[in-house]
Amino acid sequence: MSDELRDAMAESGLGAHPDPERLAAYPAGELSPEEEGRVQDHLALCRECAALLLDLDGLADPGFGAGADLSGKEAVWQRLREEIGREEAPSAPPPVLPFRRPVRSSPRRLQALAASLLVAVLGLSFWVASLQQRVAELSGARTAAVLPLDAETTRGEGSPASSLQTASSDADVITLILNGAGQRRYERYRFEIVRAGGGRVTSGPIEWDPDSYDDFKPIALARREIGPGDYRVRLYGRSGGREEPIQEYAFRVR
Amino acid sequence: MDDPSEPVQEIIERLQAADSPREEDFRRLFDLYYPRVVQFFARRGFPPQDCQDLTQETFLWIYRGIGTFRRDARFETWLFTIATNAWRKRLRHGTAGKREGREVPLEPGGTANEPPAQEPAADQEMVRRERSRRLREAVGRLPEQMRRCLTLRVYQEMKYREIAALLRLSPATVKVHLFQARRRLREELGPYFADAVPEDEAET
Repeated sequence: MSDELRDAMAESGLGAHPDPERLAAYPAGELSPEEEGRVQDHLALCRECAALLLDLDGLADPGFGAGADLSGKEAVWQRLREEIGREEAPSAPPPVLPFRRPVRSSPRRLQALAASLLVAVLGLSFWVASLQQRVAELSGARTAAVLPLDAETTRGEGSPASSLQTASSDADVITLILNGAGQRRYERYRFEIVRAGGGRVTSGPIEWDPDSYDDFKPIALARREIGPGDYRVRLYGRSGGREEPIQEYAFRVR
Repeated sequence: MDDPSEPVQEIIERLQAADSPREEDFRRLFDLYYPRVVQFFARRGFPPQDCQDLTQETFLWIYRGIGTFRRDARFETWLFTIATNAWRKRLRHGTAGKREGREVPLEPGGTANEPPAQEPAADQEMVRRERSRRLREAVGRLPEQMRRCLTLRVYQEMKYREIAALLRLSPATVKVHLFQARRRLREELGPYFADAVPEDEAET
């Protein structure tokens, strides 16, 4: 075929690349006819996506890697082990404050300093005690429940009871795994756990790197934080000073 | 000694059953898929060191997410999405780097490190654009699958079997679509465009 026809085709609009999940769903026939048509139109003009898709079957074929350069395999495995080891190691203690030369103080300033120190020490003792209690609860956990929450299957109303993720309140720790696939378009994220009948249980920030494809975030809850009942996890996104709800998951503690 | 024929489902089952994935099971998965994942990145044009880094990153994400993998799905599909995400992420960062490093001319109208391009005459350019527009419109009027087959063949220079795999058609259907597409274009565009739509080269 002629270069002229090829050049004419090159000037056609390519459109955005389909995300990898959609691309992978195409050969499995899991897309709607409209979506399938859009993906096919894109594939016709996008060399990258077409080549990627032809390699999807390759990943299932042991012969695909026959000519691969395996010289670095052991080094990659060692680095992988180290990386996993680092991630699973307990986090480092907070940095020690830099040493400062003592300043000469008046008796009144010394009294005020002593009083503040006393308050600080008392506060610190309470904080350490509560921290120790929480560490004991989490580290001494005899049983743990893990609930993978997917908004599509556990939205709540209308979901059959069998599809609702349920944890036993006997578990010492309940870990909720939020699946936030496709949600990373905000600058900041926050979760909130509420009782189905109302009333907030806990809340906190979620670190979701917009460049990362880590769709899953764990939230660990000690048993004393959450008793039997139905709960909702609400996920909020904040951009440009505006916060809006973006996802809601339901779960039950027996 | 590992059993190389062990089905991947069994390895994943064991990895998911444990509180934290066991190293020997993860190693089996690594051994099974390392060559394919390295090859996947090598085919995207990365040098060996980058292929290794991207493969390491891919397996790290597999390790982190193995507990959430749904066993009714195909493992290779999940692996594909992770590897593709790693690749696109690397491309984004690579493109950003190149953009930062681009040289710009210091003087108006000057170029930093490129010879001046020869501009085609205005009338030639106008004729080229008009022909291109008419060709594009004629291709756009072809039935959908015919148009996609033709684009994959002409623009991407793909083989019949590759086009068939991508569009989920039989190679024979692809051949028929291509034959009819060329005939329709020649009929519609007339002899003035004969050289733009020649006979297809023999399939390799």
